[in-house]
Order: sequence, then structure tokens, then C-alpha cells
Amino acid sequence: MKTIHLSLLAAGALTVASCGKDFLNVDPIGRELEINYYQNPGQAYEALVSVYDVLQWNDQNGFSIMYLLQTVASDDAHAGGSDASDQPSFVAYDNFSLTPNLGPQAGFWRKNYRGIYRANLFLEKIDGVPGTTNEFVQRTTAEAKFLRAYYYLDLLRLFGSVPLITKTLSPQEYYEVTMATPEQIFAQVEADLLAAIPNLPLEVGASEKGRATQGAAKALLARGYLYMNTNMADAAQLCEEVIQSGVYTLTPNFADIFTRANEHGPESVFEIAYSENSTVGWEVFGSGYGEGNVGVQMCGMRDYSGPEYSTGWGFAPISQELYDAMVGDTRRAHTIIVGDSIAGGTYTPGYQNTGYFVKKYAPRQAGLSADGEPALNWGNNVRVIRYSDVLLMAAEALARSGGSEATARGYLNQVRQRVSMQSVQTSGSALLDAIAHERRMELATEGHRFFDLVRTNKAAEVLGAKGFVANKHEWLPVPQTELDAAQGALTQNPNY
Amino acid sequence: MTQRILPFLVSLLAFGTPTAWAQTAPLKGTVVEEGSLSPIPNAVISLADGAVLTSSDAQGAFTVNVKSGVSLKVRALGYTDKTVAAAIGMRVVLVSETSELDEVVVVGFGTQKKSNVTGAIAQVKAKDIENMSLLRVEQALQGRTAGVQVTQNSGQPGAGSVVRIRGTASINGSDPLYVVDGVVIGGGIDYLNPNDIETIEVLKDAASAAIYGARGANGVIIVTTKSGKGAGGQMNVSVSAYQGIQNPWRKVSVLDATEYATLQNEMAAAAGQSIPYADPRSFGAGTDWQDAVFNRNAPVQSIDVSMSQSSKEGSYFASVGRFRQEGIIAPGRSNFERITARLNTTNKVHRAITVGMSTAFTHNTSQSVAENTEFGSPLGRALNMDPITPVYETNPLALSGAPYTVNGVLRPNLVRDQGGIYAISNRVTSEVVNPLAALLTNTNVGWSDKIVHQSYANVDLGGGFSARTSMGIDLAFYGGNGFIPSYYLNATNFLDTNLVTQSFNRAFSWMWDNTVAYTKDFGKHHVDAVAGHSAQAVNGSFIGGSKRDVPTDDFGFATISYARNAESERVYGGKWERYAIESYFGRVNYDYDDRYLATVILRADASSRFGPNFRWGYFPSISTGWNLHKESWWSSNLISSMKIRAGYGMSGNDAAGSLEYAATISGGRNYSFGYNEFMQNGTSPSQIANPDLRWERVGQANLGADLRWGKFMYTNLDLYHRATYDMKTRPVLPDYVGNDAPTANVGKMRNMGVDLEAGYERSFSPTKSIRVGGNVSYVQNEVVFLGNEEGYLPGQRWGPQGLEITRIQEGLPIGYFFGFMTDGVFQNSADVAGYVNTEGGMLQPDAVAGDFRFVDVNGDGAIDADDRTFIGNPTPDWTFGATLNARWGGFDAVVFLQGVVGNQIYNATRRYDLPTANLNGSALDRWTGEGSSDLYPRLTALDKNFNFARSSNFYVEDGSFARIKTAQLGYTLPEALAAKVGLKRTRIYYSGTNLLTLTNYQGFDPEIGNGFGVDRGIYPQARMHSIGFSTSLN
Repeated sequence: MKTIHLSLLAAGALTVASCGKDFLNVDPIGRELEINYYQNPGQAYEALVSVYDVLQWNDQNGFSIMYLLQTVASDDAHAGGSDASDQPSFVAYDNFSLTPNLGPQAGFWRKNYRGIYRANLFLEKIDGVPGTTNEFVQRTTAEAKFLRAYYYLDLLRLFGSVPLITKTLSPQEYYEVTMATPEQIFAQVEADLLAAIPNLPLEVGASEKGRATQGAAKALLARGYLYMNTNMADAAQLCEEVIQSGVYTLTPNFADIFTRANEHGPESVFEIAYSENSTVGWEVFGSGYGEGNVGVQMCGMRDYSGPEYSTGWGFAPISQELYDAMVGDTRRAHTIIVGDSIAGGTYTPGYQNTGYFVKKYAPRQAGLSADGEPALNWGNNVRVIRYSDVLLMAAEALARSGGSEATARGYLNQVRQRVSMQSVQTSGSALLDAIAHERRMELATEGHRFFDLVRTNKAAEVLGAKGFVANKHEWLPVPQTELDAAQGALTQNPNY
Repeated sequence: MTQRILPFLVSLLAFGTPTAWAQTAPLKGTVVEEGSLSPIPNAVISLADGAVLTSSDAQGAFTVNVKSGVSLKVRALGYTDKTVAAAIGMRVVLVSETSELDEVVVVGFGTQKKSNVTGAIAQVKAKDIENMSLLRVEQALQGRTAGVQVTQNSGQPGAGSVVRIRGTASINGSDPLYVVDGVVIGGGIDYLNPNDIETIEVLKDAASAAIYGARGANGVIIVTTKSGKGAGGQMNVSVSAYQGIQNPWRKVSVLDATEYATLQNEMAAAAGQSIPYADPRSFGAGTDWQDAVFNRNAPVQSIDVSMSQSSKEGSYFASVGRFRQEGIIAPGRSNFERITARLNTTNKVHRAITVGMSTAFTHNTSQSVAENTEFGSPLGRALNMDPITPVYETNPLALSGAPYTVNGVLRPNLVRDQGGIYAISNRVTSEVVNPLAALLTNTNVGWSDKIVHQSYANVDLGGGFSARTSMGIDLAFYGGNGFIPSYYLNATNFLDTNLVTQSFNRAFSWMWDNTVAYTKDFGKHHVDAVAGHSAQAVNGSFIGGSKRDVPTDDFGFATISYARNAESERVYGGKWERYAIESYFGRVNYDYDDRYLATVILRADASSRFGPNFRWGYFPSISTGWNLHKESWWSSNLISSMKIRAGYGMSGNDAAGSLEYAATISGGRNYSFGYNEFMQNGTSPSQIANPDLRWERVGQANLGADLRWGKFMYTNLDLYHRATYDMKTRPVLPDYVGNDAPTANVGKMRNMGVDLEAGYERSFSPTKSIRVGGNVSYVQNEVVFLGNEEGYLPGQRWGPQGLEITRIQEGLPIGYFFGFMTDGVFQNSADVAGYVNTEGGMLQPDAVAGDFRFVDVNGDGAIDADDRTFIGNPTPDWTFGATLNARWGGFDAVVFLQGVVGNQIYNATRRYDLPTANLNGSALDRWTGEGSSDLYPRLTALDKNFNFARSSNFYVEDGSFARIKTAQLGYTLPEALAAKVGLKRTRIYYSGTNLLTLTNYQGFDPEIGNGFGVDRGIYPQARMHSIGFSTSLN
């Protein structure tokens, strides 16, 4: 009996040894759970910031820099880099050797859908956040819609047809999506922007520069109408509302527009904010965590040594055509760096070197980040919508919609007068040509040229020599990886 | 003297005064052990009535003065008594009480008689691995037991091994569970000194591993370290040491400078470009980058001292050891040092209470070079670097221009040493830089200090009951000190300001086990049961930092604590979320008369890695056995013993991250608003949540038979089927979903195989014996289901373009090689034109003669991405090992052979994206015209057919190999000679490692543990010659 008692005692000891309930519960350390989140205005605001964050992603599936790649695709620049194998996606977009596996499409696709997901999530959560004011909810909702429209307009212009997703998907819905037509996508863009406009502020304070405004939403919608070649009168009206709002003026000196001091300047309607303060290195490249504008590094002169500029990687060397086209235009000196005529400056010619380099986003010694990997931490903001662009859009929309040509010429000449160019007096198609020419001169290397050529059906004519094929290269191919992952839910763009 | 006095004393004490001797002429005899025929000293020889006559000496010899034919009784500790008739020159063969089949194996929370084991358990003992010049513990298992595949990651000093027990059971971690002296060890067992090991048991099937339930799915490796042995009360001191030199055993054939220039010209010509090299011959042989990178005669050194003692009251074993190894790549840049100390004790503090402990301390330091990457490993660079570029640039003209100078001034951060300035290639770009220069641009010394301790108390409660409590801790500190000086390697690889880094980690794990055991005989029924509770918790913390631009370029002085550049200082750190596991378990072993055997195990585990809904998992197993030879009707002489076994069990795998089931909010989604770039914090979910995440489960059926054939031969055969359910996969979601997919328990995997071990052991005399053992395993792995609807997961990628070269796909073995199939080379344009689909359209319109013909695998009339298919399997079908041990007089020899058959290797060593990278020597046999080659396509700088830029079977090679892992010749000094210098058993030996490797593989080494069969320039294993000795003294 004694032994049995002892063994019962031992068995009892085992039971006693069993652990308390909390033993197996893990408390998160240094992170929060989604289910406990979105509980106050501060957290909602951070969620909104995460929607903005995607605007500046330029590291998805390689270097996915919108303005630089659009410039490379146009007749204004070549691919560049160290050699033909440096960035195959740049080369493929430059000479239109795009295939579903080759090109910049996967990065653009991923970036924009990440932004759309975050916007959708925000829009689903914002109404249930305790402690928010109506004003806060209305404004942030409008911003999320503005951003969703921004991402969809980019997808629309890059791919033509893409799936239209306006809520976060449940697992059952992943493969139920279908390709939407450009018209369906644009209808969503239009609806989001029209809903956003009344709830966006006309202007924002010094500490909020970069947040969406009415002017930004109106100009973005006008840009969409022009791209879709529809609602020209509406486009004209939207632009004129922006013009008449009195919020924006042209920067007196063209050379100042792209200086760091003029970020969010008087001419800035919408701008993507980059920062040299995130101090990241290559380890985060691809994650979207960086805050820098790597396009600045890319378009700099290779191994540059000399005054003013910092060394870069020699991408997007400016074409001889653009250089020649700008002969006599006072903006050339502020648009193009002539690498071989910098006193005391040397550089190594890279692939497709022309000796001409992007100046608006050139790496400058003054802006070199002190911390992290300097190449990934350029703070240069990207001027997405400038007031001069709004003026030119207004002019074009008026001219196209049968509005006042005199008013249109007036807007055009405002832009020309700023840079001391002679006023244009033409009308009809000559006026439209003059506006198109002005867009190229004024907005060169800012990423508009390729889309302008496509929307005006001039791409095949102008870019045919580079390899552009009509009814194919207006759009990028749907990434092969995405076609594979979507299990048949997606269809490839025509002729790929 | 001891040898003479001790038996005398024994005889006095045990049997009183000796009587009745000195009657007749002396008869001489010997006492030996059955099987080994090694002499048995101190055996007591007495008359039938118990009167002690004498005892045997150290050589087992004795002399008795009795008449022939008189009945003598011989007894010795640990052996069964034997009665023999006295005769001249008689040899008394005693049978060990613990003969082979009565040995004990450790089965987790207890031991079991080997003869009654019903599961599949393999055992490696100290004597199998003694003096084998093992570099680390896992090697003790390599090729030793069937079903255990050990592949060394590489030849880098300190590199680990991939250990797979019966195949790969999961895509989420298939490492076995390591239990050392009862403590579950995290982070591998490289802290162990191989010389401290007494036994290693491998629980292969679920019926055995179920006792470790939740974490037993990948098998369990139980290591028991040495303890004081014997009852003699004498202290034993052993010393063993070896010293060796290591060298690469192979160089890979690449083009020399003349060949390189010739082929570059050919490539340019084929692409219609101008010829880059007017006179290829002027370059001669050029630089042999492999010679430049390899470190010849790299030393390896091991010394180990142990002391042990044992008595009735207790025992101890103490050891200290030091192991140092220099690598065969990059002198001074790749090395490893391990210092170990151990103390194991047991004490009987009361007639019913035993306490004990084992404590081990290990200090490791290591320095390693990048390996198995196409982006900058020394050997990868050596293979791709052009042979025209010299190691050092000595030409003043070259040094006065780009890239060495800027504005006429030499770059300050060129890499240089006493030999001069390292050359920069102006032919090959990207990461392919001067490999020697690159080695100087990064110094990283890793270190670890680890303490593993267990204390236990065992109480005999009487009546067959006993209770045991044991507390274990595993405390590890580890970190690294790194320094990157400023450097300029080429236009894309440079650093203007140096960088110093330091990291510090602490991991602490405790576990507390309480068990009650019961053992009882009921007539012929025997029951052996154990039940218990176990709890374990792990936590840790880490901190690290860096600073740029410190005022030194010397690693030895580089430290974060320099006062300047405080603004460049970075710090990171944090704590781990606690990992906790709680378990209840029980096991009953039952046998009837040692004939019918059964084991039942049930374990319940809860892991903190899962949400409350699916926290607990239950893992049962049952196995049975039948010792046929114990049946009365058994009368086979051919088969002297036979056991058949069958079992089925379930075990689990909680391989998941902390809170993996939850969607956590991640920060860093920042954006800056305002004129002053005022950074705003942004947050969003890191992934989509999965509250149903739970245990992966492995169900395994095992069928086995253990046979002894006559006296000298044995075979053990096991057949198994392992099915993995609820395997965690992270399906690839389309990017339009907008966030990362969660993991989910949807996958299935299957492994089926056969393990066969066979051996022949025979002793011809005390000093002449032979032992041959071999094992063969066959395993077939199949990914059955992944749960994502595309049926595959993307695997490894290659090169900057990220070619997909492996996949995990349903219906195929894990990690198979993926790409196009080539079908020879187009010999002429008619071949190209004739390669058409059913509609007559050309399949490869861009191809010309000399290009690969790609197979239209899916038959859709076009060659495209959909034609990529299975082109090879990294997992061998067969693994085998064989050992030959022979003793002859004082000499002994060991040959240990090991290998694999039926796998392929993906040779991804060439940078296909860099046309100017050097080529493998096989390029000399390229296609140069009709009929010249059907295997290697033409060379061109404009590869429109993607001959090289597509993943294809061109890169896949046979990975089978057989290797003489160890060959050893030893000599044991005659005891008399050794005794003169105060030593006991003393052996000196020569040992050769990797002396011979038979393989068709063309790369550096066919053994690629690190990288799953993809060779991106691995660190090959060294051929090592070493000499060593071991001795013991009193």
C-alpha cells in the first residue's frame, strides 16, 4: 500500500507541475495585432499615411520609377546604365522588346495594387473608428479615394485593362476577379475623384504639404479625361476651377521649380514627397520601406567627379532628338545637363551615352544624404502635377472641346511668357500642335511625354523607329507571374 | 602491480583462503570475450566447490595447477559464469551478460532493451566514432545508419549539416529534434565535443518519436554524453589529439587567358560585332583565379583531455577540448575554433535517491566567407573572373587611368596590401570583382558561448515505482563583430566610408520534466510504463549597432565606441516573443516472456505558436514485435535470431513563427508631409490573418525485421510510409489581392522508403578481427498537395534576372529542378527550318545553326514559358554507407565509404547574364560547325535563342557520388612498451578524409547541403591528412 500512496503522490506532483493558462499565451512584443487596431484617430491617421506611403515606392521588382521609365519609353531618353545588361527592364521599355516576363510591369502592377488594398482597407475601417470627428472622417475618406483613383489611373494608363477591386478580398474572392475595361476603370476613378473633391481642402498648411487638395483631385481628373479623350468640356472646367482658385501661381524663374527649396512651391499642385531622412540601405530595397527617390541616383552621370552634381548610374541619357528639339528654347539649359561641358567635371560614359543628362532630377551634392545608402536616400520630391501642366491641360481641353481658343492661347502663352518665349497666335490644329510642343518643352523628363503620344495617337509615328508597335505597346504586358498566380482570372493584353 | 594484487584481494574477500593448489603440473589457459575475442582480465577461476584457484591477468592468461579434466568454474564481472574442463592451452569463451541483443537503447524518458524494441531506432556508439577526426557531431551519423541522410552544408570551417531522417517531411523545416542528456536543444548541436559522446540514438519512426510528440515529426536524435564507468574506483585520464592539413581535392576546368580571348572573339564575331582581342595568344595562360583563392595546407588541430571515475556512491566524467580549423579558401578569412568543457556526475545520496547533472560549456569563434551565391562568393568570382586580369595591377600606365584614378589622382579606397594594388577587371562587371580584393573588404567574426545544464533526481519509491524530476537549461550568447573598410572594387561595388558593426544575442530556454515510472513482472508478463509532464519556455533578446567612418581601416581597432560621427551610429534591438510548450505523455511497454512485445504511446502537446482554437495536438502511437527465436519451436541454425516489428504513430511539427496565425500591424509605411519633410508614421497589416493555423502532423507506418544469420552476420530491414498532413504552405497570391498571404494547413507530403543495414563481425583471435557494416536507404519523396490552386510554389531563383530554377510542385519531389528541356543542337539551318509544329510553323524562328533545340513539352506548337518542366531532382533515391574495420596484431584499419545515387545538381556557377564572364572548360567543346557538338551550343554575344539565359537541363548534372570519407590506419603500442612510460592503451594513427570521390559532377563538390542541390559556387570539402594519438594513463 505504501508504494501505491507514493505513486499517487507522484502522480499528484505531475498535476501540480502543470502550467497555468497564461503559460501558453503570447503577448506581442514590439508589434500590434490587426484585430486590436484602428481604435482611435491616431491609428486611423497612421493607416491613411500607409496609403500615401505607396506613392513613393520605386523599388518593386527592381527599379520601378514611374517618371523615369516613362521618359525612357518616350523619344526623350534612352535606357542607359553601365551596359546593355544593366537594367533589362529599362532596355525592354526603351526599345519595346517587352515580353510578359521582361519589362517594368511587375513592379508597377504590384505597387499600385498595394496602394489600392491599403486604400480599400482604410475605407472599410474608417467609419468604425471611435473618437473621430465628422470632419476627420470626411477628409481622410476623400484622401483615400483620391489615392485609390491615383493608383487606378496609373494602372489604366500603364496596362489598359486590369481587375477593378474596390474592397479587400476574402479568400473565396481571390480568383473571382475579372479584367475590367479601361472605361470601367475610369468610371471608378471619376467616381472616386468626384466624391473626394468636395471634402478635400482647398489648401493645406505648411506641415501638411503633400496631402491631397481639391486642386490635386480636379487636375488629376482632368488628366484622366484627357487621357481617355472624353469629357473635354468637363476637363476644361476642372482646370479652370483650379486656375481660378487662386491657390497656384507659376514659379517666376523656371530654373527654381525643381530645387529642393521649391518643394511644395507655388506651382506645385500635387507632389510625391521623398525624404533623405530614412537612412535605409540596400537590405530594404524591394520592400517599399525606403523613403528616398532612387530615380535621382539612376539618372546621374556615372562616376561623376566635379562641381555641383553627385555621381549617378547613367540611366535615361537624354536623346539627341530632345536636345535638338529644344534648340532655342530657354528651358533647355534647365532641362538638360551637357555632361562634356561642365568645367572641372568628368564622368564615365555609360550605355547609350549621348552626353546629355536629366537635370530636373539630377543628383546634386547639396542633397546627398549623410546616412544610410546615399543612392537610396535622395529626398527630391517628384512633381506629379505642376500648375503649368494644369494651364496646358486647360488650353488643350478648351481647344478640343470647342471652347474659347483665345482663352486657350492665353493659358498657353502664360506658360511661354514665364520662360520668355514668344507668344503663340495660331489656332485650330496648329494650336493643338503648339500645345503638344509646349507640353514636351515644359514638361520634358517628367514622365508625361509617352502618355501624351499614346493618347494623341502619335506614338507609332514618333516611337516606331524605337520599336513601338501600334495596338501593342500602348500598354505593358500583364506580368507573367501575375497571370500564373491568378489561375486564369486574368487575360494578357493584345499581341503579347 | 595492480593487475596482480587486485584479483588476489578479490579472491580473498570473496572466497576466503585459497586451498588445494600446487598438486599437479601447471596448466595454462586464457579467458576471452565471445565475439570480439578480446582478453578478459580479472576473471576468477575456481574449483566446482567454489575454492578460488587464481585469476586471469591483463592478457586474460591464467595458470592453474589441476589435473586435466577437472571441472573449473570461471566468472568475471559482466559475463555469464561458465564451467569448463581443465585442459592444456584451454580457451574459455565468456558470453557478455549484455550481449548485442540485450543492449539498452535510450528511447526518451527511459531506456529499453534493444531486443524488445518495437520501433525503428538506430544507435551509434562511442566506439564507432572514436578517433575518426570528426569535425562536428552530425558527422558521427553520416553514412552510419540507414534512413539518416547527413549532408554537410559545405567545407567551410564550422559549417553545419543538413540532417534528414527518412526524407523531407515538410516544406517548413525538416530538422530533427535534438535532445542532449534529456535537454531539448535549440540551434543545433554543434556545441558538442564529438569525443564526449557515449551514444547517439535516432528515433526514426513515429512509433518511437511519438514520445516527443509535437516535435517528433522529423525524427528525434538523442545524444547521451559520457559518464564515469566501471566499479574499479580508479581514475582514468585520457588524452587524444590530432593534427592535420587540408587541401582542395579538385579544381574546376575554366578557360585560360588565350582560350578566353579566342572565345570572346568568336562570340563577338557571331554577333556581328568587332573583335575585341587582336592577338589572343599574347595573353598566355593568364591568371588562375582558383589557385589565387585556395588556401593550401590549411591546418586542423584537435586536442582533448578527459578524466573519469566511478564507484558505488557515484561517478564523474570531466573533459576539456579544443578544436581549430583553418579553411581551404582565403587564408585567414575562413576558420573555426571550438573550446569545450564538460562535467557529468551522478551521486547516490540515499539508498533510494540518485541525483546527477551534466553541464557543458562551449565557446566558438568563426570567420566565414560568402559561399554558394552567384553574387559574390570567392569561388563563384574565381570561376567567372576573366583570366586576363592579373591579381595585382602593376602596370603604371594602367594605374594612371580609369578606373584606378579620378582626375589623375589614385582613388583612396582601392584595395591593396603588401603585394600592391589589386587589379580591377575592365571586362567583367557587376558582382564579379577581383575575388582576392573582395575578401579584404569584409571581416566578420562570429562567436558564441553556450551553457547546457541538466540536474535530476531519481527516487525509487519501491514496488516497481520510481519518480524522476529533471530541470534543464540551455543558455546561449552569440553575436558577431564586423568591419567593412572603405573600398573600390569596380564601378558598382564600392564604399566610400567604412562601416563597423556589432551584434549581441541571448537565448535562454528552460525545461522541467517530471515522470513516474513503473516496472513489474507478473509471471511471464512484463510491464514497463512511464507517465509524465513536461514544460519548456524559450525567450531571448538581441541588440546590435553600427557606425560609419571610424578613423581606422584595421578590423582589430574598428569599434563603435569611437567618439566621432555619433550621428552615423545606428542601434537596433529587441526581445523575442516567448515560445512555450507544455506536454503530457505516457508510454507502456509490455512483453510476454520477451516473445510478444507491444508499446503504446500517447502524448498531448500545446504550443504557444498557435491560437487558442487549435493549440493542443494529440499524438498517439502503437507498435508491436515478435521475437520468433524465443519460441520453443524455433530451431533454425541459419537464422539464429529473428524479430519482426510493426508500428504506426502520429507525430507533430509546430514549425511556425510566433503569432504567425495573426495579422500584425507593421510600421515603417511612412510618408513625409510638409515643407520640412516631417516624417509621419504609417501602419498597415503585415499579412492576412489565419486564426485556424495548427500543428502539422506526420503519420508513419513502419514494418521491420531484425535477423542474425548464424554467429557473425546480421541484417535489419525497415519499410516505412510517412504521410505529412496539414503541412503549412503560404500560397502565392496574385498581387492584386494587395497584401501577403497567410500560411495555412493545407499541404500534404509523402515519403516512402526502405532502410537496410547489414553487417559481418568476426574475431579470429584476440588480436585479429574484422567488422564490416553497411547500410542502404531508399527514399521517395512526393509533394502531394499544396493547397494553392496553381499546385506549386516558386522555389529558388538564379542570377539578377531571377530565373526560376526550382519548384515545389504537387506530384513531384520537393524542390525539383525546373526549366526547359533541350533536345540537342541544331546542326544546320535545315534543322532549324525543319523544326515545325503541326501547322508547319517554325517552333524557333529566331534560332540559327548551333542553337539549342528546345522541346515543346506541352505540344502547343510554340516554345514558351509553359514548356518548362521537371529537369532534375536534388534528393537522392539511394544513400549508402559502408565501414570496414580490421584488427591485426597491434594494427587496425578503418575504411569508411559513403555516397548517394540518383540525384542531380543544378550547376549555377556561371553568370549567364554577363557575356564577358569566363566560361567552363567544357566551352572548348562547343558547337562550331555541323557535327561538332550536340551538347554545347554555339557561343555568341547576342544569344537570341536564350541558349544560356534560360533554365534548362543544360545546367543539370548527375549528382551521384561515392566517397571514401575516412581511411585510417592505427597502431596500438604493446602494453608493456606503453607501461614503461606510464601509459595504458595507447594508439597512434593516420587518418585521411575525402581521399577519393567518384562522381560525374563537374563542379567543386557533389555534396551540397546548403542550397538544396543548387551549386552557385559552394565551398568544397577539404581533403585532409591527419595524424593523431590517443592514450590513457592512471
